[in-house]
Amino acid sequence: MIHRQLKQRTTQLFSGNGIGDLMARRLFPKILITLGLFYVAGIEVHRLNILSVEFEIVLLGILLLICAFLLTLDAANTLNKIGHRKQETEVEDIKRNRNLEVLIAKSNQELRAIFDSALVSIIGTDKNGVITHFNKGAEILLGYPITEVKGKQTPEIIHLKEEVIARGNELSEKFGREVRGFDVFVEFAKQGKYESREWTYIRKDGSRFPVQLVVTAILDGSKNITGYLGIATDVSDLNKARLDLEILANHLQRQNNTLLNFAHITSHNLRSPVSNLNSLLHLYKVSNCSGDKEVLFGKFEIVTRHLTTTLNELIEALKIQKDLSKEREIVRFEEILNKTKETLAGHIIEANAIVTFDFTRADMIEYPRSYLESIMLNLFSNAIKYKSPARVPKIHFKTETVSNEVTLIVSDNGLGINLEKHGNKLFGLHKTFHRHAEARGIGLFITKTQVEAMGGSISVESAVDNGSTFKVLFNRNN
Amino acid sequence: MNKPFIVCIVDDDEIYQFTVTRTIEFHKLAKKVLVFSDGELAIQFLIDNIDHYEHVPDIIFLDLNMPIMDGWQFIEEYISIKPRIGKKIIIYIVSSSVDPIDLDRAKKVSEISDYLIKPITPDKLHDIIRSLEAL
Repeated sequence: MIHRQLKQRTTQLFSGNGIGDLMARRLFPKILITLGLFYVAGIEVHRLNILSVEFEIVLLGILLLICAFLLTLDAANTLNKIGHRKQETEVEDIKRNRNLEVLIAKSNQELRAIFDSALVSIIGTDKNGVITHFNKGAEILLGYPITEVKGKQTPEIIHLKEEVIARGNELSEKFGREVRGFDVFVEFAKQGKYESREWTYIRKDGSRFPVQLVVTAILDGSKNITGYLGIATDVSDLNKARLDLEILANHLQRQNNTLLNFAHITSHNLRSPVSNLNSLLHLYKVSNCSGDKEVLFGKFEIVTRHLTTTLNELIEALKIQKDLSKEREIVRFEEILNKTKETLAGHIIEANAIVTFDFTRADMIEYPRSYLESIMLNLFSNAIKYKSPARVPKIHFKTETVSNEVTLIVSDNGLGINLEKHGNKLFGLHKTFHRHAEARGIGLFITKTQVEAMGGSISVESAVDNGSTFKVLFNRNN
Repeated sequence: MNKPFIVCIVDDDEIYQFTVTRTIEFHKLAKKVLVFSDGELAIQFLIDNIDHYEHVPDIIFLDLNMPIMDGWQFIEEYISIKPRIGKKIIIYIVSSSVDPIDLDRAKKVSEISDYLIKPITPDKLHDIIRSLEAL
């Protein structure tokens, strides 16, 4: 044991890097040479017998002292050198450390600035969801001071409960296991993915705003999740802009439809009388009997009258389409219905029609009076015009509110319309579906134009020989 | 002398019915002109005369936009009864519609010989009858 220790020490002495080892290696030969020289010189002096023995001993002692002094000096010098070099490296190290500190401080400041951005809410949590970080942005956007949430709350307090539950159901179904509570936010982050979706945040004062939230996992060196980071931006403005765009797009779509419809009308309803005029003109030219010419002239008159009517109808429709800012006023459905009944009194009596109504769900609406009159008159007169000869006509008016939209529903038990065949043409100009003397194909066209000009829509449900139900949705997007 | 054909006009426009009938009579282009103001009346006539091919028209000038049963619906009905009619009928669409959708659709139906845009001139009528004679 002692032997091995000695051996180890000896080896270290010759090859070690410690200051002691270095010194030993440096001093050992010098001591050896000095002692050797003294030994040889001593023997020689003694043999020549020049000096007395006492003097020799004293001299040897003095010389040994001088040597010891010189060797000590040398050793001290060497040690000083080593010490100096060490100090230099230490100073350098300190300098380098100071630079690093500055760099770290700088990047910390930058990170802090990013973290504290007032427009973005950054919330860090531990892996159980307890809030560990809550930046300035989060404080400003949500109204909670950091002291109220850090270490005390999970992000669930700033989320809309119903939304979290709904999303939880979605995720549970998707992954085939329960995903609830805080896990709803981090389920994707847990799987090493990230997810960006819209949520509703709730401020301390209870008010709400939409955010786009990205959740990522924070990992340690060995890729274990230590927490989560949720970065959310307020998207209220964005959503508002999107909504505005949607409204604009709808409006443009409507206008485009109107234009297409108008192009269709011009191509059909104006082209045919013009081509008739041409044909008549040709016949007139080749005819050489005056009686015949008179007959033809009568036909000219018919076409001219027809053309005038069509043009007037088109102008009427154009006026409605242009008149987007038609003045609205509060109108009561019952009042308009009564007025319409008076107008159609003769027809109602003649048809023996039973008219009922129920305006309890919505008894009034803000709408241009003349339009509502025209809409109700058209639907009412159609219901009478297309009654079934087999039944006593029953016409029912009622109103409903579907998601804040007032809807007028007019149903009858009349002839009905084959919607599969005629559905797409029902509201077109001069489209008629019954061999009926009074059918002119203008009523529903004008009704649709009026409803759409005010931002609404009209639809129909019908079955042949069963009756029709017209639905007018009034204020869409307004 | 009148040509030996029966011409059928299916169109709700009375003035058009008048001018075409007039032109055909004036130029003696047919022995008979049948006029129907919508597709349903025309198809009913064909069904009623399915066994009397001497009454069935040789040529039909069919309008597209008509009440009750329009031109397209007439074509559908016609295709379903066509095998039972013992006579070849040539169908021309005659419409004031210049809508490319209508024109394309007409091209895809083999029963339709051609698509004529109103007005049809007497010359065009002559050409059509002449091509019929050549058959």
